[in-house]
Amino acid sequence: MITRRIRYWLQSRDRARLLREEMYAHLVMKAEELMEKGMSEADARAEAHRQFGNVTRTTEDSRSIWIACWITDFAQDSAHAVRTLRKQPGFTAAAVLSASLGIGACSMIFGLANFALFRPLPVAGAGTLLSITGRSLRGGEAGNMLAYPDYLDLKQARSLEDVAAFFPLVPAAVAARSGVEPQRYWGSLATANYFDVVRPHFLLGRGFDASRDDRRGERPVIVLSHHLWQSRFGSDPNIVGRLIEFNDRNVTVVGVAGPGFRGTEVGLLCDFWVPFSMVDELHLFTASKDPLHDRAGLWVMVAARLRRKFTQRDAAAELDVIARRLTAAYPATNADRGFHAEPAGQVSPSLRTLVVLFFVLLISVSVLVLLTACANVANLLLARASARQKEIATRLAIGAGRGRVVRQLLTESLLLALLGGAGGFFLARLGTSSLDRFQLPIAFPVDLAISLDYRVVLFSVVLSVLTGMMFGLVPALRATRPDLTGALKSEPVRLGRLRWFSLRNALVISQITICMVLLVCSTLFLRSLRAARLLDLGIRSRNLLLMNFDPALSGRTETANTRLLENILERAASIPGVESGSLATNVPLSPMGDQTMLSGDTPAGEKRPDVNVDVYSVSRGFFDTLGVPFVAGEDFRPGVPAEGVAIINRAAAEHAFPDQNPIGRRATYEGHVVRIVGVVSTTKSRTIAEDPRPCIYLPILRNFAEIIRLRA
Amino acid sequence: MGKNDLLPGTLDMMVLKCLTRGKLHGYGITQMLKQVSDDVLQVEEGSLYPALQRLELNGWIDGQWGLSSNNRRARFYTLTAAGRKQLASEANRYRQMSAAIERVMGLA
Repeated sequence: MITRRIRYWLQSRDRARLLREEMYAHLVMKAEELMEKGMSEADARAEAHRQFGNVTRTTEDSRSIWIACWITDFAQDSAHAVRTLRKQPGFTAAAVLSASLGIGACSMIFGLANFALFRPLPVAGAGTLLSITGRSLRGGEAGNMLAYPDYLDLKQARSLEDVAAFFPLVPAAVAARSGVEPQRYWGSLATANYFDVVRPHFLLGRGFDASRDDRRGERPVIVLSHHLWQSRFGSDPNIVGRLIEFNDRNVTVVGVAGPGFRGTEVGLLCDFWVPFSMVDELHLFTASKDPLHDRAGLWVMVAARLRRKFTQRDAAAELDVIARRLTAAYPATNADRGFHAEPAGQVSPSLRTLVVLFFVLLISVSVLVLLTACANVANLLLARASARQKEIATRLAIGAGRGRVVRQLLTESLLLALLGGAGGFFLARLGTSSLDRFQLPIAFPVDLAISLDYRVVLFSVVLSVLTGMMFGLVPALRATRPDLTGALKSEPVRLGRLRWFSLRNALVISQITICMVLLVCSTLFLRSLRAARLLDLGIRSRNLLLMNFDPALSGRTETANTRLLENILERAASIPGVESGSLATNVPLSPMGDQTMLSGDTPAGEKRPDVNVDVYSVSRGFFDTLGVPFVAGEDFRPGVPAEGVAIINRAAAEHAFPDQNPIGRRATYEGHVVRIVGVVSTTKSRTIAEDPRPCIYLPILRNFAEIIRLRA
Repeated sequence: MGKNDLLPGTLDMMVLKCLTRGKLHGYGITQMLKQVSDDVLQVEEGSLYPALQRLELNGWIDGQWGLSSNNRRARFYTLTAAGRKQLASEANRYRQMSAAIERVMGLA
């Protein structure tokens, strides 16, 4: 019946034409019959028309049968609903605001989840692109990086058409041409077949030449992101083939990736891609390491294209075989190294559980908010229905079907919900765009440009309709079940009578319960936030400004850079209002940073285990600037120290020199011997929740060569 | 002459009844109604068509284009199985109703 109705409705134009034809045939037959009885043709036609009646009205009547009355009813109901809602702006505003908050919270969280979990990569055949990461064979989550030789071994897999490796966090100084001030951008080092495997859309030019661009000494080339091309090169349409400045070298632009493609890692924004032939010039590693042959160094990420007719399961099985073979062949490095394949462009497996749990938590909270909003609006509607009792009773009394009145009331709540949904979507956009403006205090760019795509719009609309049903249905059913006579006699009729457990009581009770839960939750959140703020970080973060720059990329000589750093420091200190200034490779509470093993010399020559320390290279004045007090000893002397000196924190002192005064003692890290000149109190180093971490602070002006290594 | 000449709601039933004899086009149905009722029932012919559309939409009759006896294109309607069932139930209700009216009018 419904399908037939829809079919009729869709064909209504054709059907109207056929109906007219049918009626015309009728008229002709009638006229013929009348003419047989002796009427003139003209008279017969007129008589036929007279007996037939109004052709147009008949057509209209028929049409209204196919075009279900509910459409016209719906239009009527909507018009009526708009009128009613406009007559009660206070009620409407309250209801729409409630619904907006509820739907807005849910839409925003869905938008975030959609962005983090469900967004497909803007590449051709995203379904067959895999990301291969390392995992421990003893269980535990995948997501580790791989060694470059492992990547080469993965190329044997028959189920994989091709495999590409990349390292996504390469900083570089990029300028349109020499002489122009360069700016730091972050990009990827990628194997030459990277673009053949990943297959993003190209706006200009092409990807790398898979047959050449990996070889050392090959002409250096670069692929730019759409963003970099726009922001640094003024969307130059003739950029392909041009030389640009990249870390003080000339490299040739071969292509510009299509807008939207910023690499395959969720949240990381790549601005350029350079081939492996340039691996040496990026100073990613100390000279002693040979990253392309070292199986111990885990640093590449791998993207792979599934061969036709093979599944991800086939690939996983084959990767297991390869992993077993490598374990047998290289027990020193690969004893515990397995591989894990999954569709590319997803949150890294090591984070996924956390991310999903996070969203489940957020969604639950926002669903609770939505439920409260629903209960709130339902209550408003119930209260209003009592006031409209007479209107409804009159409608029922003069013959409106209950279904019809329910439908009309539902149209009203649907309209409210849709208005709320629109408001909610607006709120969600406001929320996500303010997130977008939020700058994380880390050096490399993180993608927070959360776009609310069609899925979020759809989600909001569906949620609005469901919400409208949820808060509208029960009040509508209630309102149309009144005691007719009582209502008509304008007796003050109470809906649901006076009972302990009436519907409105239940609504209020659930509303208060949910609100209590939400209040308790948010109070707990606020408390832990406050506790975190009050936590002693060991540093004075008030009135502290941070500036980030990367002199290592300029290609200047070491002495020139040292002079530059001294110069910067001097000038910064001379700015009015600057109390003190200092340089550092890293500041406390950065999520990333270098570590090393430190051992203190022991007088008796006894062997103590090395201490794992966080490494900071800092200038004189660092501790003063950050408000970290000295426990013993003193700060670095001005100028470049002649010998290896270091400052350690109390935690490091306790581990490396237990029960001794470390001042003047020697310590060794990675073959370097340093003399300890000071001990400072322990600060938080990586996260605010950590236990005291041992740290070593090296003089930045002496250790400039080291900085290059430390930076990566 | 208006639709008032018919008892409300009886047109559908009578159209269905007419079609039990076999397929008919719209004009044929009006003719039959007139003949069988000895010209007592005069349908305003136009009002037949919305009724036919309604019956067809409900799946009670089925319309097919064909040629009339004088070779004119016309739409012929046949009764479907569902239509037959509908006719039976409507006729039954009608009989009960008219018998009740009869009894009331037969009061001395």
